[in-house]
Amino acid sequence: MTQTAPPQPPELTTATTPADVTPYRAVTPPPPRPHPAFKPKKILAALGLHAIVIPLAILSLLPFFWLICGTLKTHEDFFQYTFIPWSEPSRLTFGNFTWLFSREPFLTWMFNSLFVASTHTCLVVTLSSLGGFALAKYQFAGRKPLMIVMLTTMMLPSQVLLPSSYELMHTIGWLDSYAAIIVPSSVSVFGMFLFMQAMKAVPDELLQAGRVDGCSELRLWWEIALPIVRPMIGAFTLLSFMSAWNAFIWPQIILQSHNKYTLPVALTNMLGLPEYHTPYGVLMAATFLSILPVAILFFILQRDFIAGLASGAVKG
Amino acid sequence: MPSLPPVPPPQSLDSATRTRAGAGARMGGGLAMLSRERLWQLQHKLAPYLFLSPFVILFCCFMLYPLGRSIMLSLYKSVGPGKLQYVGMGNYRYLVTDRIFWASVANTTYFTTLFLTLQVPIALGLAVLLNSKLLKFRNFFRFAFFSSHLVGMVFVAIIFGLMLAQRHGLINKMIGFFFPFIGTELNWFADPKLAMPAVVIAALWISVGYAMVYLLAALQSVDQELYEAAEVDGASKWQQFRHVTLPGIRPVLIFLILVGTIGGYQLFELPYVLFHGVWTNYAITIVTYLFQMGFEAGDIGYASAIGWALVVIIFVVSLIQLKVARAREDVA
Amino acid sequence: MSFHLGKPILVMMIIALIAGAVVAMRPAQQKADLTVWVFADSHYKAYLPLIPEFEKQHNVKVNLNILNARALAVRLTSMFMSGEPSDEAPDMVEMEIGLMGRFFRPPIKDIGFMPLNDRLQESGLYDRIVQTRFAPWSKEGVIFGVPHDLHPCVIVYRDDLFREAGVDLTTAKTWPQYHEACLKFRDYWVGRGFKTRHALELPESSSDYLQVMLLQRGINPIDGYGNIHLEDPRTAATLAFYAQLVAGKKKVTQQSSQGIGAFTRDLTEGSLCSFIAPDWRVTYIKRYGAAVTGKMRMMPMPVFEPTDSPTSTWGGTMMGFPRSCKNPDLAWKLMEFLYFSEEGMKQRRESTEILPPIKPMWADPFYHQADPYFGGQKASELYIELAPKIPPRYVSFASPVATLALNEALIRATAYVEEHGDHVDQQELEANCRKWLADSAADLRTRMDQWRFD
Repeated sequence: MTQTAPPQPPELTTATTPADVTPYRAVTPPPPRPHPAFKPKKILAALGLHAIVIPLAILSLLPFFWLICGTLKTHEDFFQYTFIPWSEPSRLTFGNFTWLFSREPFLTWMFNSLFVASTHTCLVVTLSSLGGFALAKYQFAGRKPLMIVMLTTMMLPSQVLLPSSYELMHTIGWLDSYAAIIVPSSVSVFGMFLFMQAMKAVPDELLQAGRVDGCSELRLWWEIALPIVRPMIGAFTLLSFMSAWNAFIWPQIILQSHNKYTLPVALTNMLGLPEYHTPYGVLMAATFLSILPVAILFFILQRDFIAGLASGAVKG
Repeated sequence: MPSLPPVPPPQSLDSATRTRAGAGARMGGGLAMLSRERLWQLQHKLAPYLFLSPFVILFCCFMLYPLGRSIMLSLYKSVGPGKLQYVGMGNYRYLVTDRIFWASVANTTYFTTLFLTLQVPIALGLAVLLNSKLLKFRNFFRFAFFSSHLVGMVFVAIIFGLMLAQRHGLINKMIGFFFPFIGTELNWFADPKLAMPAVVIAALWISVGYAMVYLLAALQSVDQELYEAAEVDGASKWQQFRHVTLPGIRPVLIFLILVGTIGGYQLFELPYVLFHGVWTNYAITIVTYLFQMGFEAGDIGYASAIGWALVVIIFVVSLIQLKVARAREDVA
Repeated sequence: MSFHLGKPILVMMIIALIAGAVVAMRPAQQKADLTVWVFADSHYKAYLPLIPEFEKQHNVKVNLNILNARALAVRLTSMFMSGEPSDEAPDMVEMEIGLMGRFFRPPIKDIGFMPLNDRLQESGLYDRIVQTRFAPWSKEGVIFGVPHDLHPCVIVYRDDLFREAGVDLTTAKTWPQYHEACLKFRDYWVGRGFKTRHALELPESSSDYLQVMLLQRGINPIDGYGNIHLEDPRTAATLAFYAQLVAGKKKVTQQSSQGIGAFTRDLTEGSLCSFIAPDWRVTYIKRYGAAVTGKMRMMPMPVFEPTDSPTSTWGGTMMGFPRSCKNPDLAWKLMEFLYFSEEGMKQRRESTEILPPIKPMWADPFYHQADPYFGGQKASELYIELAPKIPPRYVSFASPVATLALNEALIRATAYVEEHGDHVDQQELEANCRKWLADSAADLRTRMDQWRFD
């Protein structure tokens, strides 16, 4: 409910339109360009450019590398070697991972996070695409007031709702439950506006034709609108999953049982003086495994995501 | 939602609907009472309301109700839900004199300013570099810079909590290597001057790539003809940048600054995890204070008051920024 | 009919179903008759062998869990606040003194722990335990925890190095005398090229040891009834004295270095030569300073005035019983077993020298041995001699803020001393300290009024 997705301007549209809607244009191919002459100045400039960009990219990726190195080092070696003991590779160990799985219910936490994040994503995508469709394609009484109220709440920092939401959860008995995390957050005003914008690309003629064919409104949404906004669905899926996976403040407030923790809450609880039992390497191993699922999802959905971001920037 | 038997509207009658209409007729009972056309029109009229109803119900329960309730709560003192004591404006009166609150405002403002001052220029610089036609493997570099955005704030804080360790952490080692006169002794967590900068470093790592992607797209959308015209006019590369590029990407810049400000004021996970919620004046931020007062000391009333103060602060700051942006646009 | 929400959502739904099934079918944690939470490794190790014996004796199941101290406090706070005991709620919890304050904010009837005054009286523990030790664990006279320890503070010092400098520390009975002795020590050793040899270890910007000294004088920043004592003129005087110990021309101290192996180096090389140490710290000093065995000695702390206590206290653990405890009588028995039984005492002796808070137990010969580390001194006898003189230390929900105020005052005082070099006017310094402390006290007072909930 208080998970913040990375904010985007309301006027975000998908970059792609389905092939059956784009009219085909006959285009003559441009004349072949003459091969550019061998320019030493250009090569020097290119080398210079890469000489700046490559170290910066390495710098940006360095913490990942350090993290992975950290997962393989013993506690004594952790700060002893900056990255890994290059000269003594036998000092590397998987002990941190075995420690993690044997002493802490890490697998449980992983499944908890998977459950919460995937359920949240399904719910919020469904609700937002339904709602966005309604807002974009229908004129009905109350549309304007609803949008004004939604816009106003979107501008509020979500933290102001934390104490009263906690009280509400206490009253309805949802403390220490997943319902408290999934249900309130399934309303995403941001998602509604995203889909409202995206649904504008659905041509009204198509919808009319559907109605003429006797489709119910729901079928219109399902069969006609959704395929058109599929890239937005992909982008929003990634965003929602990420925001639910990484959510911290609300789960920290709500969850009280060790076995119910999601990964961010569980890992924060493992922090403390290493004498009191969590070696650094174990913490790094846990962090590494916690980052993987989002990375995997991103690889699958990255085209949609970047397209969504980029087009939004242009229009914004 | 169960689909109503599709009622053939007056215009067309294809074979599919005819059969289904026939099936509907055979069902009889209550359905025969309603004219099929009215049913169809009913669902058409109700559709938007039905589509929106789950959202609206949940929105009212979990967004509007807590919103109203939090105004009420801010007028009370509390040691836990259900244990409230009415204090009227007492919370707000105290808030105005609360040194820790104002320290948190100062820290948060310092963080946001420092963060934006560094994030936007660096991201812009990177975007310019990546926009160059001479660059190979643009997608790889874009991913390299963007990948840090995928890591959740808590995990970044855990990683940086160790990387910023005095003497042994990676960051101090690198500082000692490149700047031997500073050495490796920087104590990021105990030195009041270094606390917020430590958070800025972590925040920059997360968000520079993200801003860069936006700016890159914006750069690529600037009309090339404007550059050619400027070059014809004899403008240098720098002048082209100032007078063609910057105005062209202005909306994105404003967007990034606005969003960065709002996000900066809401900063919580990074300082909370990096500083383990220690009671100090130099590491506390507004939302951290809200959290500590609301969920560690138990006073959800005072925490609500802090929340509303945050609303006001963000509103005022955003308003000022928009006014400045508009004013500069008029000048330019 | 194809799935138009797209493949990613389809995959999400599958994941949700699988993960949901795993989550739902998770076996509930075995319900034990008693669940105990501890945070200290040494305590965990000491209790672990005792648990099976207790289980056999009483035919019950006991779960002993170790958590890290802050996580424990956070979870307990959360449980007390929500008022609903979850399945995982512990029946007995060990709590550290520094984290105890927050539980004292609600009115007494709402504090999450059970009041123990009656039980302590009935079992006779109230008379057998050093009474001032109940102070940290009580609010307005109601006791919420059984003390695990006393932690009397002593001075541990490198007798050989002090004697070589012509100083017999045992003659320094007051703090100003101690300061003079340290100055003599410093001048001797610096004169011989040992620039990094410091007479006393004290932190410069943290007020922990300042509070240790204030406790000697009977001053708690906030006492058990919510009264603030920062404006006491003795507080300012102590602050002024402390500031001149750690800064300026008469600086004789250094804080201990951070990092693995750094403390060992400090001890072995003689960079730090005397310490204010509670008994738990002495254990660390003996462990990391093994190289200087036989060269160290112990003595009571010097005082400011004759009415002060020659010892102080710092740190501490208690055993508390949340109100949601299912079986208070059984839990009480377990506490007595772990803390005060023969077997419990044996375990405690094996892992640490921490003195138990029960007076009759001090007769055990274990606490009357000569300690070779201190050249044959009977260290525990010194603890026993000092234990009854321990000043009461109180913790309040506003204690962290009071510590913050003292830290800030200390930083300003040391800055003042550094600025004025040779010309430190004692009167002016003290007047300034009084001003700073009064300012902090005023702020603390309004804050406590705001936080107080009755």
